[in-house]
Amino acid sequence: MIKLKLRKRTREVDETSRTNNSLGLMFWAAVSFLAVLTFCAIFADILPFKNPTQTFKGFNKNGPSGSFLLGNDGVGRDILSRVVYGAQTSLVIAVVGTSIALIIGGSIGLAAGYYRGKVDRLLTIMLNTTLIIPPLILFISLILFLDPAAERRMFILIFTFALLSIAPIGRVVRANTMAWSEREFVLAAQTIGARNGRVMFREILPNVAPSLISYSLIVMATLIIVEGAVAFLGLSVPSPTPTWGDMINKGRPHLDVAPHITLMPALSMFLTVLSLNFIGDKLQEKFESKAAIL
Amino acid sequence: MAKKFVKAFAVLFAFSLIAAACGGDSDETAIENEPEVVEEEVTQVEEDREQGDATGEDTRDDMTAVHGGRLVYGVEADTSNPFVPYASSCAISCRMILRSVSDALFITGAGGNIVPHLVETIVPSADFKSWTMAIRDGIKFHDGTPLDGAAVAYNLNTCRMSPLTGPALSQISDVTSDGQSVTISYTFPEALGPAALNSSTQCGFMFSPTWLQTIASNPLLTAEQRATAAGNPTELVGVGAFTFKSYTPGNGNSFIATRNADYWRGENGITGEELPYLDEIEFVVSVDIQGRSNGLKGGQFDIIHTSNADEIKKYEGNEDYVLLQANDYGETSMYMLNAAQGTNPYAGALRGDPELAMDPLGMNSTNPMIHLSCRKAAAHSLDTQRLADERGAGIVKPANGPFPPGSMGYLEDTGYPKFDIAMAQTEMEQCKIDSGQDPVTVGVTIGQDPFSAETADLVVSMMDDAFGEDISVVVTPIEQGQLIGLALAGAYHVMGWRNFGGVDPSELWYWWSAYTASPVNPTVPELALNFGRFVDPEMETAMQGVRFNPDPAVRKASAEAVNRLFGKNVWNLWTTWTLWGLISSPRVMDITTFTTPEGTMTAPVVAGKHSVQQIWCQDGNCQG
Repeated sequence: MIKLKLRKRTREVDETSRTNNSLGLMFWAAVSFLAVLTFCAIFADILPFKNPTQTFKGFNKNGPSGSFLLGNDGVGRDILSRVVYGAQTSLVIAVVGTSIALIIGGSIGLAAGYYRGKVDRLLTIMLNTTLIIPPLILFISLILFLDPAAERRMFILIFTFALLSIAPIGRVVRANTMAWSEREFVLAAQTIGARNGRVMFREILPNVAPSLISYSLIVMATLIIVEGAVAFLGLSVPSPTPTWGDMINKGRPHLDVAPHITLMPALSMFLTVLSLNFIGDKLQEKFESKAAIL
Repeated sequence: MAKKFVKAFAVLFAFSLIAAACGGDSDETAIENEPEVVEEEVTQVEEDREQGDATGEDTRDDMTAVHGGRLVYGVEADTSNPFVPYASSCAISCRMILRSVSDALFITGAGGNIVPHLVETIVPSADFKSWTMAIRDGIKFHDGTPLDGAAVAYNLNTCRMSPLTGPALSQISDVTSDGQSVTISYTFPEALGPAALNSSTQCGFMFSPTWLQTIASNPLLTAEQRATAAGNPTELVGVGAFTFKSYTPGNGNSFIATRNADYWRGENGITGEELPYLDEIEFVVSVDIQGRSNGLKGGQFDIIHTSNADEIKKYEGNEDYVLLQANDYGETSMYMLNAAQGTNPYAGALRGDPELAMDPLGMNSTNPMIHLSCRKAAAHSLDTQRLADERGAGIVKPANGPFPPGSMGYLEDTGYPKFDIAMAQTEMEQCKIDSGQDPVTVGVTIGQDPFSAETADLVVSMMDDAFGEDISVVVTPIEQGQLIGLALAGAYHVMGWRNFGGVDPSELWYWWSAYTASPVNPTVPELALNFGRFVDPEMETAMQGVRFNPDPAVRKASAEAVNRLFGKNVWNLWTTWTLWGLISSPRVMDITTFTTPEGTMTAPVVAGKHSVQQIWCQDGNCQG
């Protein structure tokens, strides 16, 4: 009787494991989309895209055609190449901004969650302080204060986005660290005299990392949206560098006669954010179920 | 199901990108689907527009006007330093507000002649150096102060003493009054005289001197009086058809004025007419044209104005709205160039410094546009016909000077550089030598609205096409309200602009005179009405012919000379002549049909501005 129950439980665990190993078509479609987008963005200069700033006389507001697959914008520029070059801006800001936030926020969260006590309280107050102000207002204020003439806007955007992503990432890492630091293998490492640094980086970080990676994908998606919002307000990287938000903004006057000008960059942003969120969610599910099995 | 759809969509889009990447063609010569040219029937409006004679007259069938109703007018911009004429940076939207709460001494007649409005008669001296006006008797400001010669003199003196408007009135040597009479004395003979103080000029509007004395910024007040002055410069007290009710600054906010039952042209006034018809008028600032247009369609606004030809075109043939188009006495759209450099003996003479340096700190010395070669290169690189076609929906014309077709001084060929890439490149080589820059770096300041930004992108693209690596253009979008401030202070290289609307060139002299060109000096900020700060001795001579010679033939020839000098020296990069559109609900009537008390028809629209006293709504209800 007892043997039968054990076998059944083992089978359930196997099925769960198999289900999670299969990430599904949607996951791979999202990965493919991001891979294509990233590839095109990185190699845009050597791929056969038109110059994204070149205006083609007589083609303003034209819809998709054989020569311009996604159509032309209000001054005749090729929307496809602008979407691709716009991806460069969005991806650079999202990836670099998130990476910086990951390093700083991750370190703060790890220290706060591991040491607890006064260190935790101090670091938590620091993190929470940045969350008091509405993020978009803080973004805009920082951008206008630090770079009113838009001379180094890309750098400032990355800096402000990273700065304001530190707290959310730090909180996630802190919570995960707290959970993992109470596990038996951590206690065992501490018992045998392992140094704090070793325990944090060798025992805890590898276990926190999976959820951190999946969360950072969601942060990246958020940064892409925020960059779009900032660009929509005319505060992102200045023209003629294409950005998706700027393209959406400049397409507004033509919405009733040429909706594709706004639709194409909006779709690109939508699918990128959807893909990042979906991949992040899927990875989170996978890592959580692995942790549950463990 | 939804998940499947999203999956399919994502996969399709991903593969469409791959396909697009692989199928992309950088060969510009392989472009297919050349746009079709469709021949359309030429309407009267189109013909008038072509000739520069679109007046914006409301020609709908005459119906009997009725009282009542509240009109909500969507306007394009808020006003910096509202609203006292001597201090306000008063553009079209501001002038519309001034027209609602006050009247000007003169008004433009339908034929382009200036006709008296608050003034009853005007007589020049034999040498045209002194003009005496008789002000209509019995008119009162909203606070009960009578409009007499002293009140007019007080208004003019506030403008004369103001650092903003003073330079424009610097030719006035004295203003004296006696009863209902005012005499203005000039340093030189004035061909147009005080008729320049018409409804196109902010200082032409009269406000209560009693109220003006409560405004701390009033330049006629002593320091002691200023300390106790507690009046609000936005709460205008004029002689107009509507009285101030409220003002909240900013985009989305409004200026509200209510019917003045004692209006001098109303049933209790001196003319016994019935003006105004509306109970209330509200001007709501909606900077973005899409917001304004959607506001009209959604019922937020009953009428809007716009100089965006692309938007005007969308309303053509739409019978759900009334569209009035006007390019008569219109403005010119341009990229204004900051040419501050060298010395200015003209403004210097007024200050006792004939060597007055225009750029003492070298703030503008890196601006390549101080060099004629660079200005010519830029002008040759711009395909203004393309700008007119693609940014003006083909319903505006490329501009070649400050005077549009139909106005005094207009010329078919002003000598302004034509679109010519080869010439542009030749001038650019000289520009690089003159400026000492390679690449030549220029900053372009524009309004923040997406349409202006996109137009600037096209201009930059044209320059890139012409000059390639030889030029670097940095475009900076600035909030609309700040643009005028930067222009006044000379803090720009090149600026997207629209100006020079007027009936007579003599109304425009202060935009172009060296006397109104102040130095660029942030340590001692000075405002200049000559925003481009250019000093052109030939222009001074030509403008004297326009301003001081009463002979119409001489004035016309002088105005043409002014136009040629703009062409020769390229003080601005002209783009298109502005077309104004007034778009309203069909319930709004008599939008532009305003007459003087004597029955003289006035110009329906002057550079986007029109009277509002005569507007009425069907059934006394603007919203229906």
